[in-house]
Amino acid sequence: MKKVLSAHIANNMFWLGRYAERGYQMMHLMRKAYDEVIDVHEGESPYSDFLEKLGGYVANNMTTSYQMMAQIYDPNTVSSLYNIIERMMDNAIVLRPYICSESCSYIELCRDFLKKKSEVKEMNITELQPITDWLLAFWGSIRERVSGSSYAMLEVGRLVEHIDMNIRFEYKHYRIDETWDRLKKYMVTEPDLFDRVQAGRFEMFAATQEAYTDNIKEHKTDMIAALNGLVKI
Amino acid sequence: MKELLSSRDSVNKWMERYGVRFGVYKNGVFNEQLFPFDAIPRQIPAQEWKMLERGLIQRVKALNAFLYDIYHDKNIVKDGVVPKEFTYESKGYMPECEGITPSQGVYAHIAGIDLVQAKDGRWLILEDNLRIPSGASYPMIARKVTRKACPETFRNNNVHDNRGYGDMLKEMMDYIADGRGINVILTPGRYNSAFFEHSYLAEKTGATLAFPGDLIVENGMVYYTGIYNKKERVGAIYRRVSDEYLDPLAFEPSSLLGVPNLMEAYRNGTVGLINALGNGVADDKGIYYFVPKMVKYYLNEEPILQNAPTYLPFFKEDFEYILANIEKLVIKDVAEAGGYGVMFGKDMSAERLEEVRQLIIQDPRRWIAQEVVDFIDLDIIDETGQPSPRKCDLRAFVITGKDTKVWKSGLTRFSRNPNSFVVNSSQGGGFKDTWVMED
Repeated sequence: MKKVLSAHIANNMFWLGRYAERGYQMMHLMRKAYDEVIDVHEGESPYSDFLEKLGGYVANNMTTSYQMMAQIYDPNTVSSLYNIIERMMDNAIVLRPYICSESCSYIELCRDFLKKKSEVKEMNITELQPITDWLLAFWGSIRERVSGSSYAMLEVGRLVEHIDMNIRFEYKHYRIDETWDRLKKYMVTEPDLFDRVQAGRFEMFAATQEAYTDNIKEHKTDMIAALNGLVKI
Repeated sequence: MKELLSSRDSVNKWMERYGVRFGVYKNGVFNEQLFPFDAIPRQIPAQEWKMLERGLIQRVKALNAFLYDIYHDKNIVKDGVVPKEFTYESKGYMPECEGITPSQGVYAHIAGIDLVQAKDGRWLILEDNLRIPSGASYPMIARKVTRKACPETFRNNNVHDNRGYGDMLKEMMDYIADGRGINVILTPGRYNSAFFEHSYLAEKTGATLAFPGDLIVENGMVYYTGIYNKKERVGAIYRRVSDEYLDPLAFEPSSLLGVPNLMEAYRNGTVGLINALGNGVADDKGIYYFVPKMVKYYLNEEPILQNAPTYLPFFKEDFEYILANIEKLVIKDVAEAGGYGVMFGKDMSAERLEEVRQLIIQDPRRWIAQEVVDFIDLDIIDETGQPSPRKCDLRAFVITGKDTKVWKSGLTRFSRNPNSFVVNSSQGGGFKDTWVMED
């Protein structure tokens, strides 16, 4: 285990944790959105709501099929699965000595698989299930092979992203609360990593169910901003 | 062997999974591509390997002695064995290294010696690489994957295990660090063509992978800097950054890859550099001609391994021979590497031959000429799935720490073009595993 982590390695770890969680959540949310799309007609664009929550570019004048395709494969769609996996790879590739080749290999598998599916423009989300499986295997490999501050950086990234996505999609308070409690444990073991002011702001927005319910509609952007300012790397 | 060939799809999938790639810049754009792997290994019988091993150790010992001499007493020049034009006028010579004795007195810690086997069975040295020889990671990971994909092949063949290269490197790095601090591998960064190797070797040696900006020099000592103002003393740096970019205060001032004041720390002996600075003077294509003479001069031994027949236009007799026989020789620009600057007389038009003659006349020191060595072909599985012969070389890795040792494996590179002698990966070549057989 490496004793000292440089700032950019810590940054890569945090963002690898975030992108790996975002990829996993994206797969879950797309499966959900695809299910909803079954019951609507082309042109009603329920998918636009999904894209809007991700905070990305919403091509409202495009068909649902086009939007779905773009969300998986389009390099120009910021929130696309393609871009998430590429960013995971960008971070993982410099972390090989810390997370081991075996952990990197699961991300390579996701990338190669998505590339092959893009050649046939695979649209059935079920056919992309191996990506979810490999992301779970990736986290298994991380838990097996990484420890100490390196593990903390990855896990903090994962938890921050988990809360971020839950807020964007307006999940119930208890889901956020559970993850926040886990994140707070790292404020004890890695105290220098966190911005206390932002932590206080976030607690103000989401500490209780009442506060969360009040704030999720009016102050969603502020909540996400406080969360994203939480980690100082 | 049959099993290994039939599992080549599985092997290639594993290589893809482990991201066994190298980067290439084409028209200024960085692309990563898989390094083509051929499943048929090069096999070197035990007896042949013993001879190679002795020859390689001998050669690297002589080269290390030469480097010490060049930067200290200069006896080999004073005694007229090597002309000063090939030492102090070489691009690889660094006057800044005069009088410096590197940690433990070792200059070439990792030597990549390129060889070919002629059709009569002789092994000939083509080139010495004493600066940043790359490529060891590929056969390392290829062996890991092929053992996984095809265990029965290794059960049925007595092949030396090559997976200890990381341990060999670590042992050498620890010796060079001499208890002063941690080992680091200094990479120019993610977009370097050999980045896979840098990160893989860091993983296998347990060294810290350092990027530009991670290392600082304070009070004459080198530190790896971390978050929360932590820092750790560095004892040895396996640097994958060229000499001229290593310290912007001592060499190229625009370098963003180096560590300011590193030269000062190196000069004071507070950190070991692997390989040492200034080694380029010993692996220049021109100085190659003199290596067998170095063996005799420093070790008082007959060279075990010979060079490919080489002519230096610097010498009058060779100059005349080259101009008269240029159409049957290989002409190499000593300033080029990676298979570039290599011209085969037989492939050139009369006009081009004349141009090259003029270039040699204008600047004889810049060129060497070699007889075309008809080296053996090894079979590869070609695009049609059939065995097909290709030219191959071998890069052997010789590690010098407390002792000089040869890694019982190596990088066998092959030309993918059936009509080409150029095997370099940067020019589309592929690689094979190299099996050193046990007795």
